[in-house]
Amino acid sequence: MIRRNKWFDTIVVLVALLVINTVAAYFFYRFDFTADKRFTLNEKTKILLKKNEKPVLITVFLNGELPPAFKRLQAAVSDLLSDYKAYSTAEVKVVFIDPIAGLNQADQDTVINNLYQQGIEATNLSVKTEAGLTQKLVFPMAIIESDGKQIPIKLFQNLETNGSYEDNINRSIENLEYTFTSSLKKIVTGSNARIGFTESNGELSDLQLYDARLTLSNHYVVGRVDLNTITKAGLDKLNMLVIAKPKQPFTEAEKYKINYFVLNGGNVLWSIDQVNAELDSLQNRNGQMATNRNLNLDDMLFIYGARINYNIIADPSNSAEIPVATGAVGTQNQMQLVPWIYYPILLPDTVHSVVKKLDGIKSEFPSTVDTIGVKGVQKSYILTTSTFNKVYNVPKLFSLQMVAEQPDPKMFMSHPQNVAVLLEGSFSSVFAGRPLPAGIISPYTLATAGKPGKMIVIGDGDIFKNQVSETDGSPFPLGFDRYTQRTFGNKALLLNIVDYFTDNDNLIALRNKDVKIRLLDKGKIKLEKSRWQFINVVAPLLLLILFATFQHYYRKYKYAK
Amino acid sequence: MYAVFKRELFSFLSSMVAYITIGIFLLVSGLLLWFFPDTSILDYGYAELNGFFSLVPYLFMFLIPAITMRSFAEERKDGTYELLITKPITLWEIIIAKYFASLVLVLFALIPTLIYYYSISKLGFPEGNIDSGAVIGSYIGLFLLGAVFTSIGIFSSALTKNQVIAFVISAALCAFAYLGFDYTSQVVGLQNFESLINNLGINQHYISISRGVLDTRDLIYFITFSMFFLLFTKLIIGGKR
Repeated sequence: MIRRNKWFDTIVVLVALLVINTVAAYFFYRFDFTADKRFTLNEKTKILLKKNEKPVLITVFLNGELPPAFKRLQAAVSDLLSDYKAYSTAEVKVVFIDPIAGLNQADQDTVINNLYQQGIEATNLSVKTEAGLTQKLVFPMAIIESDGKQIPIKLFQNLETNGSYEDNINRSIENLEYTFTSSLKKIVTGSNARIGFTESNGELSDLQLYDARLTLSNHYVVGRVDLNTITKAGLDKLNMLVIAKPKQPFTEAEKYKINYFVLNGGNVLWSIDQVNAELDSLQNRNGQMATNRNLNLDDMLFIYGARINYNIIADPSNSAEIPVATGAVGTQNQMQLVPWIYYPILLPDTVHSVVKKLDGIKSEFPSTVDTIGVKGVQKSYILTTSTFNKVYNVPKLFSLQMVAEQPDPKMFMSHPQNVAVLLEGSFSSVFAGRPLPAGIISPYTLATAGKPGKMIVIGDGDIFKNQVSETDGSPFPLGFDRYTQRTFGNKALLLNIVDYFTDNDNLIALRNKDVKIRLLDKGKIKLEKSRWQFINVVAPLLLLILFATFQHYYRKYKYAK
Repeated sequence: MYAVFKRELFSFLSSMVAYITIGIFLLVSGLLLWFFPDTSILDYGYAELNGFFSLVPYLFMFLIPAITMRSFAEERKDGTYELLITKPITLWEIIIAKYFASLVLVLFALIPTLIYYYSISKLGFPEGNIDSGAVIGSYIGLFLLGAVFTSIGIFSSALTKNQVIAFVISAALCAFAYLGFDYTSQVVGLQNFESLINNLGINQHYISISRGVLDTRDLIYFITFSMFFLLFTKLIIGGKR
């Protein structure tokens, strides 16, 4: 009887423990002890994870032997994904692999190529070792898979910034939640936002937009739009229009269609060269007169709330470099890279989530952008030059000889010039109270007040243009400069803008996460290394021995009494 | 119950074995975290104690069995056990008293490691640049892990008269409870249950808390796990009574 009772009690307790655990699995709370709450997921991420019912597989390629900064990035990824697991309804499986571990050179190349086909790019690092600098290939990338679809994810922002290495890793860590959550959303909800690049007014060619369109087509439906032929129904299907560097004036009928699109809640990205100035035409001639370009868009942008000025900004302190022939050695032309002050590197605004923490944006002959006070439209400047600049009015004569000119610093003391502005709100109709333009047969019905929409007006048409190889005509990645081998933030800017325009959940706000960087004082460590090593190994032991001695004599004393 | 707890704790503190065990624990963790370049905090360069918190579970696998191995095994061998159970306290009270005495000793072993925190805080750039909240959270995690390992150790000690055997069983059980489930889930044929099996293991629950995030699910897991082994300790001792 007693024995049975004992077993009975045990079983009761076991069942109780099981029940408590099961219940706890549904009602849980997480206490984040960290000072910056860096392990607390945003509500938007939690909602997405709770809604999702399809199993997700995340493969992270950052593994194996890594330099400390990348180890930290890896740890941050692992931490973040374990938080995802904790909140997810569906199973989230996370795998860390080092794709080239233990492979010989030939196999490595095959693997690297295969990964590249899937959008997984390697980064070459110079790692300091005792033997000096060695090259190491790392893959700061992940792939998220669900439901037969997969999206590559970039974990590392960029190496090319003014900030330090640690800053870079930290920015990447701050950006991780946004990167993973927006990719997860795209893969589980299957974003089918449609983006149209206009083509009827001499815009950038398919080759020049190759990387922009290729990158966007991973997540969106991307195509070209001819404003002459597109119908009202066609416009209704679009979410976003990109107008990249048109060269011919827009007809009133085209503007009527854009206006309809805007008032209907469509989003427009204007990337406009207001001035005719091209480096290509400078190479072969002695000079070129930069003149106004007539695009017939000024009245339209004015009513929406922006104006692109007819001028060119020069920024000697922060500009891209171009190759210039400096003479000939034998038959070979001697080329040298020199700063070209009319190609300023634009600085992203530090506050707005669309551009926060982005690398510099490379521009070519940009113009300044002003805003016009318009009721119901909110304005924020998102790209500016440095404080050291000068604005030239056109017409102005440009020649390559100008690289030799030494800028007089006094001439360039100024304030930052605005090059891009974000407009949000209900825009007014450009065609209110005006007759129908020629070519529009029946009027498109317009909402009395425009539906809220967003647009970005950039005073440079080349921001989203990728460079093209001179030897084989193949396109380079967007934002990559083939002369200096530097990568600028242009691609990330485009992706952020598109995310901001097409995502109703406004996930881009997740980019506002701030993680404090906590480093050790390297100088102090160098000077006092052995001292601290000694303290931390010996002091704990000393403490223990001290206590043991005390305890020994205390006992002796106690028993002697 | 308090009397048993006190007797147990003081007999630990007056034994050489306890000091040697704790001394080795502190020496190994000190060397790994401050001397050896692969695991050194100084070479890592960040003002974090994460290296320590991921190292300690492995050291605990030896420290805690060494502390707990004597609790029942020794009494049974020396014959003092009969004396103990004839006292007017219940079996539960004896187990709990011994359990907490061992756990307090585990905490005692952790106290000197607070020097690491002080050092890192001093070496931070600027000075004091360490996330104290995260460290407190992580120490809570270490305590919970210690609680689970201690319950395993007490259980093992109740199984046998021989202290060495108790140590070996306990170390093996701790290692399996910490890592074994993760490896088991990789076995072909079990992969469909991977997350379920992983969830049974300690590692899965310790990871999150070791960086300073306390999930109530993990907390309940640790409590349940400890109770589970104490319950079985009672069954074994009760059966041998």
